Amino acid sequence: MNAADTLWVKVAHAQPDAWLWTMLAFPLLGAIVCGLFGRSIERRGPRGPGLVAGIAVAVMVGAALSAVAAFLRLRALPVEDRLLVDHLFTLLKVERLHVDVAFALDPLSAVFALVITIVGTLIHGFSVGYMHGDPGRWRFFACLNLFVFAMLLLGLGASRLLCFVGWEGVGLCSYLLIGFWHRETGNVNAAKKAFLFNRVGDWGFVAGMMLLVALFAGTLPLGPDLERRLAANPPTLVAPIPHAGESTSVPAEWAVPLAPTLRLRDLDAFVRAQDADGVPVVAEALRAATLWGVPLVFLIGLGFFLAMAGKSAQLPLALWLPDAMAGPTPVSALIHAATMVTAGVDLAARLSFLVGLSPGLGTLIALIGLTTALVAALIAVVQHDIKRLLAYSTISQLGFMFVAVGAGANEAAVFHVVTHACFKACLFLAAGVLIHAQADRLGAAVARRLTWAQRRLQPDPADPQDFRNMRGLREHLPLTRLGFLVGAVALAGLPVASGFFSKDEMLWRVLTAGTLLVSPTWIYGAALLAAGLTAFYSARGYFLAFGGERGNDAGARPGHDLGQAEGQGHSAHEPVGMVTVVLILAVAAIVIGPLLGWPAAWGGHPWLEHFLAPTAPAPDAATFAGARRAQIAGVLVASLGWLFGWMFARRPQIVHGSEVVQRPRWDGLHRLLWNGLHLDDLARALTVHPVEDFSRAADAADRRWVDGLVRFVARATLAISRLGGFIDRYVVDGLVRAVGEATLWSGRRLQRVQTGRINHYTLGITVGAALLVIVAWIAQ
Amino acid sequence: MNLPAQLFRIGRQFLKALVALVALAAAVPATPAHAANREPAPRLELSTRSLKFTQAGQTASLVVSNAGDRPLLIDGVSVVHAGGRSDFSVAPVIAQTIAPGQSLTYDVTFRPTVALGGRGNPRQLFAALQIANNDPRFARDPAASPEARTAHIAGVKLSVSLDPPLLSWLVFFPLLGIPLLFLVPRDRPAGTRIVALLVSLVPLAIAVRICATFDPGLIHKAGNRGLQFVEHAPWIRSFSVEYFLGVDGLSVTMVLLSALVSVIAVGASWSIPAERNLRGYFALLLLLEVGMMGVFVALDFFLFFVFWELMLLPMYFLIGIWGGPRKEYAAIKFFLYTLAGSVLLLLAIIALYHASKPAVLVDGTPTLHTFNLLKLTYDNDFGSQAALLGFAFPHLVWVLLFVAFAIKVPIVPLHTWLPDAHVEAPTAISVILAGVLLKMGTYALFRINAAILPEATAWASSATAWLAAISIVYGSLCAMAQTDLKRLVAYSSVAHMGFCLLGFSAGTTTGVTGAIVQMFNHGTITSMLFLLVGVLYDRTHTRGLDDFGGLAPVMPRYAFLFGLAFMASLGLPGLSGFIGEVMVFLGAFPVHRGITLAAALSLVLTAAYHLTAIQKVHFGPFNPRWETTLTGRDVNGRELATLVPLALIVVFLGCYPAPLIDLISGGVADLVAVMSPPANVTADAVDPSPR
Repeated sequence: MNAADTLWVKVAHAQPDAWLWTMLAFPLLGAIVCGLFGRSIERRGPRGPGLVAGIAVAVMVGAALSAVAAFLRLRALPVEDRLLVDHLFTLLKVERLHVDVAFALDPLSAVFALVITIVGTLIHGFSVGYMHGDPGRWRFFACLNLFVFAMLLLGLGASRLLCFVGWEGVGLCSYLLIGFWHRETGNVNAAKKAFLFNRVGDWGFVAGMMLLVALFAGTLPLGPDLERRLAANPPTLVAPIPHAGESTSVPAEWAVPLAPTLRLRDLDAFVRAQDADGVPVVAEALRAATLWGVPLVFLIGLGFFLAMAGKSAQLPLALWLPDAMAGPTPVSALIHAATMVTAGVDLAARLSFLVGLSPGLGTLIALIGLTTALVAALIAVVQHDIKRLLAYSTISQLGFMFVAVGAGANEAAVFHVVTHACFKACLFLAAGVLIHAQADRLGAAVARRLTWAQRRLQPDPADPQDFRNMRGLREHLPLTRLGFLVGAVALAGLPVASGFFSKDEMLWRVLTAGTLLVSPTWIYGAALLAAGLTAFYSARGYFLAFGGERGNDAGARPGHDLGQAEGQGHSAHEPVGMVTVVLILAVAAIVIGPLLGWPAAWGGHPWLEHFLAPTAPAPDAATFAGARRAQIAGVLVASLGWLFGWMFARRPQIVHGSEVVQRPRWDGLHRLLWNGLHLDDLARALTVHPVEDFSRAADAADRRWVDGLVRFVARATLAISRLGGFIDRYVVDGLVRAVGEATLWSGRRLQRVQTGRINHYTLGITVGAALLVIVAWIAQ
Repeated sequence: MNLPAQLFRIGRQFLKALVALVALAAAVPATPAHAANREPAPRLELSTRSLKFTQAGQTASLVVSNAGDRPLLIDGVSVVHAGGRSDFSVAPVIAQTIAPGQSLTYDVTFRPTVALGGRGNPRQLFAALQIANNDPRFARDPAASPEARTAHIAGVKLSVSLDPPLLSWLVFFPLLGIPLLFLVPRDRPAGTRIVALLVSLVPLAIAVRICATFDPGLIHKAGNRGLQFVEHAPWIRSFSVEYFLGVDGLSVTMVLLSALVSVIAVGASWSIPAERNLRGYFALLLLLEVGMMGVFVALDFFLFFVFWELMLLPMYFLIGIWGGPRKEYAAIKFFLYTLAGSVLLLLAIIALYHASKPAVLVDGTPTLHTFNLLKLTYDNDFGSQAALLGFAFPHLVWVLLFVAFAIKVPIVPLHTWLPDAHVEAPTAISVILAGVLLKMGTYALFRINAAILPEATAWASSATAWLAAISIVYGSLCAMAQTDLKRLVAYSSVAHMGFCLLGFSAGTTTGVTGAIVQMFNHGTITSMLFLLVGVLYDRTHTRGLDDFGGLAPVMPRYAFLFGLAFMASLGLPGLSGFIGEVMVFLGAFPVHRGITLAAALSLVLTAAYHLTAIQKVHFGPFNPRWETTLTGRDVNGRELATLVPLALIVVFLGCYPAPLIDLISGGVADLVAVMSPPANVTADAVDPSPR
């Protein structure tokens, strides 16, 4: 095969764009300035900290504006050409694999970019107040800016390798921010846990990339055979065109060679490419290919799914997210709720062509998402810690999104990403205000070091995040309460709030999915159950935090009550800047749902769906009745859940100050759920302990056996040389000395023969001569 | 007397003997010796053995005279060109007879048939003038009959070079610096340090110039077998040993790395106390640099071996004299371990030499065998050699070479010298050891194992991949169990060098490129790691991981650099450690699928111990023991001067590795062409897409 015969495949027409890089450059600049000079700026004067925060927020505003501008440019294009590409430079070029530093903006990444930059800007603004007075604020903002940069890189990177840079970059920022208060060993351990869980996912990502590169390099079973088939049957979409050379001025965006690539857009085009008879040759070859007896596509998907599970906290790798709440609350809002954890959904949506090729893969993703949604919702039900509740809720909501992706409903999943970003950020930030207020209130309380098992039944009185320490906050934090309520309602999926629209869209699409290998009805039913649980814990969380009257707060320490601060006006508890952000997000949490996705079944025009999939056929009006029925069912379940949650939260749980521990009704189940179904212990026993054991064993073996062998050889050599020395001194040299001494001795003895008498000599001569004669005679 | 001390003493004796041997080898006369009372014979004398040309059309004269007492018959004169070109012509060419005491002048004219200089063109040309004669001293085989006159060949080197002898300067400049060091009075430690620094800066400048003018497009078929800055001259004609230096894509980055790390090491040696014979220390350090540079640029196997051994001596003394508490043990362990490898290497060299085909030296002198690494690569096929000791010849030699180099890399299970040497060595020596010395092993694997014995390399591919995976996983696991920061970094080197071996075992363009990129990047990253450990050790005199904690707020700059280096080492994308790793994975996967997937699991293990190290040093509560020692003693200017350049390289190459990859691309293409059967070569050579 030579250059001219390379097969070229048409891809979507891309519009070169020279400004996408600014979206990333702003936060990167902020990160560099804050990270390298933030500390010295902060120390320069009283206005230093404000300056650093100002820089961090300003770059975010710049990024958001840049994102909006890019979005408008994209929208101005005809629907089938909606792709902006900003090519900067070549990252690496080896064999037939080219990886460029290029950013691509398609509708999906545009939606992500908008969410990241706009929600990010709001949360940056919130952080200015939240982190006020923290000595490490420069570090916080540097990491937060860097996170936004990495997240945009992940979303906009044209090549998977570039995405991987962002993918690990967000992991790094997550690590740095979870462990932000690093004096506490617990925080750092949580950070390490998050990083390591993500690294397991990254292994899957790398494995997926290895398979993707090998796919069209002719090194996997698929390669040469495919090319032969294509050559035998002249293709239309797959057409050999003259080699275009290395010139970049050629509008190369409309065709790519059938060669190893890490751009999913190209792979998507390969899969859709057809030959002259209209046969999708590449797709067929991919379907047929196996490796180690497993369908190749499934393996690739499995690798990437592991990565998604790590980043988006899906089940085998979900356990890091609750611990990640150790970070400052804005971090939990931005990274561990609104943006980073949805990266897996983004990747899944982009890999939908693989899902289309392998129904098993889609089913696997849906089932794991469903299990995660159910399990996390169940665990969330028993949480006492407001942030852990929200964390489990995030895991559960991500599970919903994966169910949708697995069923092929990418647009619905992305819709939920958007609404979830708004209402979950709203919930977290409201919780942040609440935690601040609680921390002020409980500041003087003596912390009781309680074990995890003890905390199930009694709160640590100094813990500002424990529901059981919250009473009567409604009056002191009215606006926060409003924000939290809106968030909770949206999360519960009650009508009008945005969660309702996106969740029901997902459930409906799952019910009508045709690609799953298991009955969609069952998945729908289970997902509905999880939705009911969601409403339940949302209501429970809200009423535990803000329900109850001040009068009930009998156990609160006098003097530490919030009421004491009343004289200073309510801004003491609800700083204006922070509450404004909460309210903006609350408004968004209400309006964004109907605005972006009023269902067609109710006469609406789901804008987001059309934006993401402009060429998809319009839904059949005949299905509208079913959709409405499903939606009504969803509303009923959510309302029921909310009602139960409210009733559950009204039951007095803990009497403050009393050492009498009141056990919940289903104690065993409660304990099981409280311990997260022991999944953490299981993971520890299956991975951490064996690895630690292996590590110790390897070290011991290294010292004792491997190095021992070396030392043994040295000792043995030395022993042999000693033996040699001994032999030399006493045997070889001894022999020499023996010969010498024997000569001397015999000489001394023979001296006596020298008598000087002639007769002795004559006798000697005679005897000697006789002896000689005898010897000569015998010798004959 | 204890064992280490005893071994140390033995080692010292051995060293003396070795020095004597090397001196002897160098002193072997360049022309064959002959007896004073000889038979009457013609005696050919040449006015020069080397004609240098500078411009096209230039003519140079060669005077051939007969100093003997019989007529000298010149059977013919011819020019031997590499690659079948005809850049030089000579007149007259017909047979001549030169009476005793007479002489004859030959004119050699240079008319290049290829372009010299410019992109893709060679900058050196070599050819030889062969003069067939009847002087018995030039008989290739002294036992041949005097009638076999054509076997009597005297050669003259013809050469053109557009470059000054940069590589000789690069290699030997530090040697010139040693006397300078001893000119500085003993009681002026600052002066000694500055002289050492200045001396080490010169090779760096030369190396930078070499990299800047290196032409990656000049590959094997373009001339000089892809080599640049070639210096080629006979050294010991009787053993066909040549002085042959040159760089190609495989070595050019290593030259830069060695020069850079040497400067960094001199900078890191500032903390060596003045009373510990500073001049001796720096002299040995510079001598070490000579050996390192020599290994990377030598292209004659014998010369390579000389440099390989030369580097051992200073290393041995640097650890053994300026090291930590168990320095003698570590030094002798390092030395004997490496020497064991050298013995195998020597055996392999001799075996290859005797199995090689007849060749000519650069000046045209015919020889029965060759040490020329490029001739061994391209002109010899060792597959047809008779089996040795029941093993196929290439396989046996390959194993000998592999073990010799595996000790250096080091590959599990031959790695145990490394942690001990690192722990005992002073910071600067650890930097050189990890930054450069380990790379010699992998470099030699590519230059010698892969290039000379490609068939055996393919034969052992699976085994080497397994060894690589074991090194990676086992090294990571061992690193995880360490409580000494330096030991941890040492074991991480074992794991990271395993990636280079994995790329080597794959033999694909991506894999080999990844391995060489990883060699360079590991050099800079590990240097940073050891420098950082040294910073802490200089202040606290301990390296125990559990002794620290909470340093991040106390030493913020230190924490930043530490985090950067450790993140780079754990392969975080965006920093340079990632790029080599991922290329090795992508390149090795098509060849060794399962093994590569297993090796990639080290992503998790590596992260685990790196994060643990960061956490134990920088996070958690501050250990009050260091209240006075560390507070307010963040990294100082001198330490920053060594760390920041490396950090910049790490970040730059992490974001933009293309310059590094371009630099080595040509060399890798040639090497992969040698390693792979022709069918694969064409597949690899397919032009990529226009983007």
